[in-house]
Amino acid sequence: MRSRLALARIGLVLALVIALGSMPTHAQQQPRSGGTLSLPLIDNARVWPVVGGVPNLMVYKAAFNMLIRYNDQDLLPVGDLAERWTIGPDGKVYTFTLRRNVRWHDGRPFTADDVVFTVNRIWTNPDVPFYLRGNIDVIERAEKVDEATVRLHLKVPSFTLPWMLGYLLPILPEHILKDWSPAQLINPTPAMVRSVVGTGPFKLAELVPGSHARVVRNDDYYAGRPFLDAILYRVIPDLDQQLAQLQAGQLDFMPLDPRQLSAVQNNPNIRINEARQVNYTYIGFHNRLDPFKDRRVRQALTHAIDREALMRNVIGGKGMLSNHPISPWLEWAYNEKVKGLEYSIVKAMALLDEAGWKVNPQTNIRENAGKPLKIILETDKGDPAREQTAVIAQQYWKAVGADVEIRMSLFNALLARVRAGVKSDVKAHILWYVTPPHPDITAYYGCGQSTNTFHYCNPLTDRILAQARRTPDQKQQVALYRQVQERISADAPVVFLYHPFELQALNRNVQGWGRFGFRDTLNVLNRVWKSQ
Amino acid sequence: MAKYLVRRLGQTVILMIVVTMATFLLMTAAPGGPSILLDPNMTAEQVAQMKRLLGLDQPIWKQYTIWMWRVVGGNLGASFSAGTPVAELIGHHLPNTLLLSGAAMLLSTLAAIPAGILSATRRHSRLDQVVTFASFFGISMPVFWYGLMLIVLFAIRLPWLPPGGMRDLQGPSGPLDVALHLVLPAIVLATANIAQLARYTRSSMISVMGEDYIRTARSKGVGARSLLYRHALKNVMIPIVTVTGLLLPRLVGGAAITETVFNWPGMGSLAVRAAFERDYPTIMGVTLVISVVVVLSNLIVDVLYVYLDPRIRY
Amino acid sequence: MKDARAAVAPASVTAQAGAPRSLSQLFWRRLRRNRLAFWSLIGLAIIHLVGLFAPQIQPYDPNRIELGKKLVAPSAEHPFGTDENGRDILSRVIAGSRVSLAVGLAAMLFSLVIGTALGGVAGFRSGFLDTFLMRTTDGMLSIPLFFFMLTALALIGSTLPNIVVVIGLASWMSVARVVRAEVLRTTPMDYVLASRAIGCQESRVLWRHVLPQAMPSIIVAATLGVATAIQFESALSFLGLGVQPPAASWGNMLSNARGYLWTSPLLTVYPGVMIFLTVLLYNWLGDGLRDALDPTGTRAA
Repeated sequence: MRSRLALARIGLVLALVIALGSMPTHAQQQPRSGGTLSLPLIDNARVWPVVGGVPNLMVYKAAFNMLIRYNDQDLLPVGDLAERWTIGPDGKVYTFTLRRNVRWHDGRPFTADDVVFTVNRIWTNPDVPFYLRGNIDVIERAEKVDEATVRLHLKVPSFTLPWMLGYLLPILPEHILKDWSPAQLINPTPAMVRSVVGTGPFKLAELVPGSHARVVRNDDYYAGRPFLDAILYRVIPDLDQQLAQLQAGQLDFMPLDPRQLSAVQNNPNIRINEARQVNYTYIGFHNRLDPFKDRRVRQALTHAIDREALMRNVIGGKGMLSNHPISPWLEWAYNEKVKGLEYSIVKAMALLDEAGWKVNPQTNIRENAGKPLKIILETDKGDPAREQTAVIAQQYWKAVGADVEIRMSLFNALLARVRAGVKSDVKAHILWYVTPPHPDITAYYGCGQSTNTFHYCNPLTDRILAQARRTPDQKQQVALYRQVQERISADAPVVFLYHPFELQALNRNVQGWGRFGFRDTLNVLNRVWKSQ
Repeated sequence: MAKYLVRRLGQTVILMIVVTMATFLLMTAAPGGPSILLDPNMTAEQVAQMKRLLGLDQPIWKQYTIWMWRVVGGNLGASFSAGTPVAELIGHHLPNTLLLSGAAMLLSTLAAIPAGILSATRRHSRLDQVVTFASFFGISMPVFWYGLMLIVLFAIRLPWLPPGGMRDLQGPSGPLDVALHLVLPAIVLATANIAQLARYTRSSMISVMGEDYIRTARSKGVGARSLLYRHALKNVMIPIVTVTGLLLPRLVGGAAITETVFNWPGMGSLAVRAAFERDYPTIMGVTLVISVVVVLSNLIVDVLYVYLDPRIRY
Repeated sequence: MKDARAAVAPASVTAQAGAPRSLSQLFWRRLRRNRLAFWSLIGLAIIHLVGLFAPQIQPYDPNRIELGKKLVAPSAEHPFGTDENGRDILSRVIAGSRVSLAVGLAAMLFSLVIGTALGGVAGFRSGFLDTFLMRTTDGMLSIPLFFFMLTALALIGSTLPNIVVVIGLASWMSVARVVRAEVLRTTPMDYVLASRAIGCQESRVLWRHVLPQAMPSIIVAATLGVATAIQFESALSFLGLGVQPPAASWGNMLSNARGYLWTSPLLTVYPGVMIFLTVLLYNWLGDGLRDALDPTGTRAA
């Protein structure tokens, strides 16, 4: 007992010393109020959380709050509008205790009615084609317990719901939207959007198509008055123009194309932040079609690519190699023991031989039962990194005896074909995924899932994923997900390439910016400030 | 004249129907479809529901007729991706394009006509060679490369001018601010036109100076200056107005590149984004309005003839 | 007043009746006198030979990637350096000339075919069809075509044939006008009437009598057309709608190099200069040809 007290005392002294030591810098780093933060949008922002789109979410995140957001340390769910929550023992009932001091921008209090309205009339309403329903289709309905308590009833047990709720699911005001029709809810006019209020740190003030959007400080924000006076979103579709504006001091932030990095690296006014984001780039295969039906072919095609060299060239090495879909930033669930399929031409060739694809000495192309190993590799036009990935993969695969043809099409055209279901004619394609920060990958790799564009199906993996969803104990859950990572990596349903960093170029005087991708930083814009 | 105008307007209407029909067919027949239907999180069922809401489940001819009827009633629909009424979008972007094209056109005529006349009256002189060379230079330069070079030079290395956009959104913005933002894009957009117009003015001037009436005037002892300005110039203006009219569609079309490079919030950048997003109502609205504007400007050019050349009667 | 512009436009170059017996002799004499045009022709001949024999000339495989040699500065081994994938830029410029010139020439040929066909039909079939076709031509000239080109390619996708077709469809109008004017001028002439009387088909009349007379103007239009098409391809590349990688075209090389504009501006210079030079030479040649082929000689510089 004594010694413990002594230890505590030493701890206290240490803490004081550290605090004193860091005092001067802290004094300098005292957040300062005022100033406008200028951010780029690649297109007009809709400012409407019921539909998707990056420019849209960049603005609406400043004006709205979700029930749950992710923390800054390891992207675990923490309360936002919900102060705390409990999960019923069967995993089918979630009870949220809401914050009481929250007001909408028009002064009306935020209550359980707003949450019930958002869940029942938008998220789960079959008449509203809400784009994120796939993530939360376990929710059956919401029920108001009292003004500050809401219960969510699920169709099946789920212990992963909080992660889904933190992913782009803002709560909307019932008192404004209650008389809107489903068509209006999914497709409101800008005039209607302007009439909507949020609870967020900033209020929508101006929306000029083709030019900019402006949000201004909400003095009554529940977590305290934000430091910034306003955020100015400038519509700048062209990345080189964004870079020029950044250098001219007209923008405070932009996500860089890796090729642009060297242009601003030595600029004293600009700071580069290699931010973590839950995102990976892959070469996807149609797992039900020849030759990708055969696991050995898929494995061989992964072995054939020096992914390390590819990453160095395509994104300047600014990322982490990926061996499965789960992000290394989810440290609590990441299985670092999975080493993936290393670069080995010998292994690649042996696997292809084993699968029956033998080299025809006349053409140097492999053949199986008279059919040549021909791969049509598709990607979208206009993204330099993916174009480069395509030509590099082509060369690596040629080296092991595959005949590779690259086909570029416009993003929309490619995506429509990739998403056409099992009958899709896209056999190999390069794209990327941004997902919620959780290892539950059922939606993308589960048998027959509508967003499983690889048509990969492994019943055993499926069972493990389903079991993990029903497992309340975090440790057991993690153990299951670690198994999933091993299995997916070995099955090679796609060639996992890399988890890129988001290369954030920031004006030196921007402070309080988080370490994760801008999507997450935008949830805590109230903490960002500008030094002079 | 009135009869002529009516006929021209009739032709314009037919042209617009053909143009919009072709665009509509191309747009709906193209693979892919609007971006809003392609969010990676949406299920097939939701896509179908969305299509129904937007009227995209109807047969193409019906969609076109519905669109046409709305246009006749003055409604261009709402943008898929921005939700904004297309008329409002165009209301924001069209004046900016007119400003940019107008500035470029003014710059072109101010620079090109004197240059062309001077080089025609001093043929084979050093000045003539410089004008000729500079013209070819201007015609042959890839526009976006040239624009980016100017940004690097005059906005970044020498921070004299803003790199892009139309006004300073964080400070006080008046006409002077807009004018500063206008300098680089207007120069880039005008360059190719200056070149063509200068060459054209030069050759018209040369051929007019060779005409009988000028020779007659000269033999009667009319002074060189008066000859040039009183007799030759007015006749030279007619073909120049013609060419200016013909350059107008190219100017507006070229604005698509210039506006993208300089982030000028005009019809060009609107069209580029709408085309990539497959934003059907915006594509249709922009196509229609930009064509109407250009065709009407041509009509004005034609009416100008009557003023310039009394021989022409409609 | 049906068409005010055609009536007053002084640049409409039509070969006059009673031109010297050997137009080509006169043409060569004039062209050689115009030193600029002459040297442009020589320069273009060289560029086209390079394009034609690209596979034999290029020092490396233009698509061969060497990841270890990314963005290498110019050296004896790689005279122009390497690009972001370690590909030899000199080889890519040479290979690119083949693609860019092919796009330019093919689009030009396509526009010639459309222009000649429509102009011919309009000339022979006076009346409604003529009016209709000429109004279409006017209409095409009065709308901002680049808008349509980019919209069309953004919608149907920019494969090489699509690019050629779209550029060709947007540039046949001047040829159609020239051919129509020539048909209208030639058909009343005795020898043409005679050949029609003995049953010659219109296509034959077009081929034997009209085209040779219209040839000077068509050649000028074609020369300038190639220049325009090459520029169109590079402008479309800027928007990501040009020739697709890994194939190199000057347009897509320039567009790709844009990412390095700030750090390795030299990367944009090679393809940029090639586009500039080729377009410049074609313009010079076209201008010289116009002078050389204009029998009145009033425009000889």
